Amino acid sequence: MRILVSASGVAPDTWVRAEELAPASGRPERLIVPLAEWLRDPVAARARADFVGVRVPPDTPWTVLAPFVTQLALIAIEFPSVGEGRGYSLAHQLRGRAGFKGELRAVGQIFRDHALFLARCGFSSFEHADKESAEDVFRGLKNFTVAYQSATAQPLALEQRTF
Amino acid sequence: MYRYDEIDRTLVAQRVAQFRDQTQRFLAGALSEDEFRPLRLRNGLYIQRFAPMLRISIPYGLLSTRQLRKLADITRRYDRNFGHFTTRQNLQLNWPKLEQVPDILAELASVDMHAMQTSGNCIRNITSDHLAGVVADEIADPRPYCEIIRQWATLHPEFSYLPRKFKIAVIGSPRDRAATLIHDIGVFLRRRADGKFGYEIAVGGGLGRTPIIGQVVREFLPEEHLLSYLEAILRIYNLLGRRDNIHKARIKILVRALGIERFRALVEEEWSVIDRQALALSPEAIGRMQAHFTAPPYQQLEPHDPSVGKSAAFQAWYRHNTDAHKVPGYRIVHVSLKAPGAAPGDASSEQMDLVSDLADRYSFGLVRVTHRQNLVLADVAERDVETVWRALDAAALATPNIGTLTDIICCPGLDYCSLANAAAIPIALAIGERFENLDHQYDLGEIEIKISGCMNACGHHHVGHIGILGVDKGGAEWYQITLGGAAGERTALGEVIGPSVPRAEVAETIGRILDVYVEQRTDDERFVDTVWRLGIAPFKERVYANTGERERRRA
Repeated sequence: MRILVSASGVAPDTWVRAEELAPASGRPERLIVPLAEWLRDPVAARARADFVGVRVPPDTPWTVLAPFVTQLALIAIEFPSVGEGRGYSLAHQLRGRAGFKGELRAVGQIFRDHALFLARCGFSSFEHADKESAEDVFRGLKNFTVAYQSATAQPLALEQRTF
Repeated sequence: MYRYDEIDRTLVAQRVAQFRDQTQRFLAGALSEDEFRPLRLRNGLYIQRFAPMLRISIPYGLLSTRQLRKLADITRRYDRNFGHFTTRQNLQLNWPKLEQVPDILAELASVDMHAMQTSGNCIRNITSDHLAGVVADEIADPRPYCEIIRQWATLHPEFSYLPRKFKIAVIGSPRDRAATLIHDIGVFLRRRADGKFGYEIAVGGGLGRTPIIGQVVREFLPEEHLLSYLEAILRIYNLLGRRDNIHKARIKILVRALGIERFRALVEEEWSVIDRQALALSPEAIGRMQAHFTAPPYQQLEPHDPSVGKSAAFQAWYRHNTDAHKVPGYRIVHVSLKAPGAAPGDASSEQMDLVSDLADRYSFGLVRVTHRQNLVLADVAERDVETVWRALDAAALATPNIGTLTDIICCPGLDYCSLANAAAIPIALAIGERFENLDHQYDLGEIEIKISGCMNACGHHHVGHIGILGVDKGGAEWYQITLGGAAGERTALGEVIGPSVPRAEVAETIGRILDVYVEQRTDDERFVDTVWRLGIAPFKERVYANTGERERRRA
């Protein structure tokens, strides 16, 4: 059972990944498919569940996803290593230029030290690294109560520098 | 200087708490070395040959005496009574204990200092002109803009995990004293012909394995758009910079791969969709930041030259280590950290305290760090200059060698640094010893020698008039020599003159090079001008004459 972190706390994941779907189970309510599958046939992918999301690698151009933002209920951006930083900008572009309003999730080895950056770039939920508990990552959202920049999203009360 | 408010203090305090937590997790085994590394680097903490090294941020090189005294205190209590000033105007401690670093950061926080983003793949210290605000040729003081950029860049949620390090410099004078064109972004303050104030933005400069001089991405950017334009550049870099090979990950590689035209087009397109108003700097905002950097309460003083009729020693120091100040009756005083036998750029705890005392009494309580690893007391009244000189001289801080060949830029090298191939400090000391005679130094004139212990080029060897690069040749320390580099009125990359030379022969090699200069120079020609006029051939010929014989002697 995957536990997710969001600005409101920790909660079990209600989404299923396509590769984890047992063959005998019925039509899932919420399904995340790999980007490659979606791009091959978005109509078929969309029909697989009530709500469909995609899981994308960090070098995905926002333009690839832009045509689908109203159809996708969730976009999961991968953070495969601790140094990976592209997802932050991709999130900013998806929320901004693409106008994506669904759930934006960070997946991979996410530590408490990344949580606030992710939230401020527009991510609505994140997984947690194997070594971290979801609670620890959630507490990371409170690491700072002030910030020097305005951000894509300000999910918490953060006192901000205005120039 | 910039005065912290509650937001600044809270941010730094929360950062200390965060780092304390990260260190505890690492020491308890909850974080692996690989997981801890990016976190500790973002607090300037390296693991080095003998001990961790902590790089403390000195924003654009400006320190209050309260801060400098705290640095002295920290070097006494947590280190070995000295610190090293770097080519990015920061201070490095070479001997802190890992478990004490959170305490050191807490002490720094008590004087509004920190070590945030002095390392790691993020935006580093914003560096600038050590003569900002006191020199006549300035279009405007760059420091308010440095501070604005610094805050915008600090813990930026989108740009904290870049492909590689990112260095920004800002210069306000037509004369580049901050090596601005070898930065990832160089910001040049400009006033357009119609009077509008703004910036010329250069991008893609950098040293290391692939030295490249920055290119202009934007000829004129209006003042209010500084941050939104930087955001556009950073976003393009964050998304497109290479992450597969750390030697190909700087923005200079991306700019070279795309070409400046395509890179500019990408930046301009990104900039066109950014909400510029959200980041626009209003005149009021600029004014509020400039108010932190107002001129000190200068007195109305008569200009005079305090060196007239004085000792030769004072005159030499006055001529070489002081500069004209834009305010009559004041003088800019350089504090040389290049004494014979001393590691370049190092200052002892006692020396830091002494400079603090002098700054309090004679320079409005402020001290500057130069990227050439010296200090500056920028606002000394001419009538106090001799007194300051005597005090500096007694503390070995008055070697009259600013701008001469013994004013060497030198990285810590193999003596400290786990990245190094060769020692750098002993080379600087050997050169200093060979050319100890001051009259000889003065005859040779303005020469910038820059020494790096490895390809990372922290000693800026590519842009030295004489550059010296330590290389590992069969387990021994050899040195490659370049000539003709510069980072001043012009930015140029040095040319390798030939095969590397062994450590014991470096000083002699420099001697041969300078012999050629003395033989070939025209009247007022500086060394680097002679190199540019003649090319490296005559120097190469002299250095490698009798190479066969020397190789036999070495064997």
